[in-house]
Amino acid sequence: MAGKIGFTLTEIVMAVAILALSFLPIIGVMGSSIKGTQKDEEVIKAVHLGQSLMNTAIQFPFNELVSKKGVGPGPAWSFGGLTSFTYTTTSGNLTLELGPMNEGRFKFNSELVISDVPVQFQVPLYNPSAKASDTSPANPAKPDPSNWGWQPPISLPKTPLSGVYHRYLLTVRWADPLHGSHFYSLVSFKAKLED
Amino acid sequence: MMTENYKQSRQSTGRKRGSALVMALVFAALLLQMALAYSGMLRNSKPQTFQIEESTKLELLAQGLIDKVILKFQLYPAEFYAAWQAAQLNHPEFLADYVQNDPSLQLPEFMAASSSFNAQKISVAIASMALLTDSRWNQEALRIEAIVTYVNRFGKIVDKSVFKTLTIKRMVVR
Repeated sequence: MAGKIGFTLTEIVMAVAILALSFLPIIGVMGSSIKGTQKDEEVIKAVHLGQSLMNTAIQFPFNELVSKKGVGPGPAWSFGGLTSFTYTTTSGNLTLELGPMNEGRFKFNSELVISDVPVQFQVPLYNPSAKASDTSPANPAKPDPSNWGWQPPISLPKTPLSGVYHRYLLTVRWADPLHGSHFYSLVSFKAKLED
Repeated sequence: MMTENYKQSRQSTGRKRGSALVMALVFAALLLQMALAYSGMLRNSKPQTFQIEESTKLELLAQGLIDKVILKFQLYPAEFYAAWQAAQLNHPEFLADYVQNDPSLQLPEFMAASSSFNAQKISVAIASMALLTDSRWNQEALRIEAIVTYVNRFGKIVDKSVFKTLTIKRMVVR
């Protein structure tokens, strides 16, 4: 009698088969999640590298090099602790080749292009002497800014101002054996401001 | 007697037969639940990566445009102060002309900040400039707001404000 209590071999085989089948989608999900995590890691590393390089670049007076046109190797500066770089300036653009930089198992190459963006603003002009009177003819007690001799906005300066506002375009490139080559670009601008 | 015992034993064995299958099915259902929860977690982690990536781009672009409006303020401070004073006297149109209506202070559908996995158009514009005055300490500060607008990966329009506040000193040029 005691021998009849328990699981039969068929039951055990079927149970194991069901469990094995139920594990298949889980293994599939885990495989895709590993790939996804690797891609996320790449993106986050590239973003952090780009951010750090851009923040460093904005602190340096690279925009002043833009006006020094010509092609050739630059001074032996180091950029954020990296190897020294070379620069070329042609027609007002400055290109800095940065890298290669190894971040874990990834190898990144970066390029920073700084270009001059001439500026011209739309400025509403007013007449300071009219502002001094500050009041409305109908009600002298009430200040009326519309009587300050405002003119419609005009473009100032008359010719766009060069060498005071620069665009920084940083591109980080890397190759991934599974997904091919990738890039990540960041753009910022820097003005020459008075302290 | 013997026949009776045999029947009872058969019934009890019949109840137990198939219980392994039931247990395996319950266990499989639990595993399926785990897999679903895990894939849900993965779905949530993906947008977070892109949020980090997007916010870095937006912040740098907005800071760049804020730098431009500071340059404008340094070049044409008198016009800003007059427009600000007019705005305080219920005439905001001159300040709007100085800030919001200046096309050079807008970057519509900017695409240079792109990537191989996310190429979206980002619009940046200077939304406001405000003078913050503390008469007690005789201090003035300028608060600049830039608004960044873009369509995210899920087709939703996202607006984000970036602020910068800097202390300023008025100088009278004689």
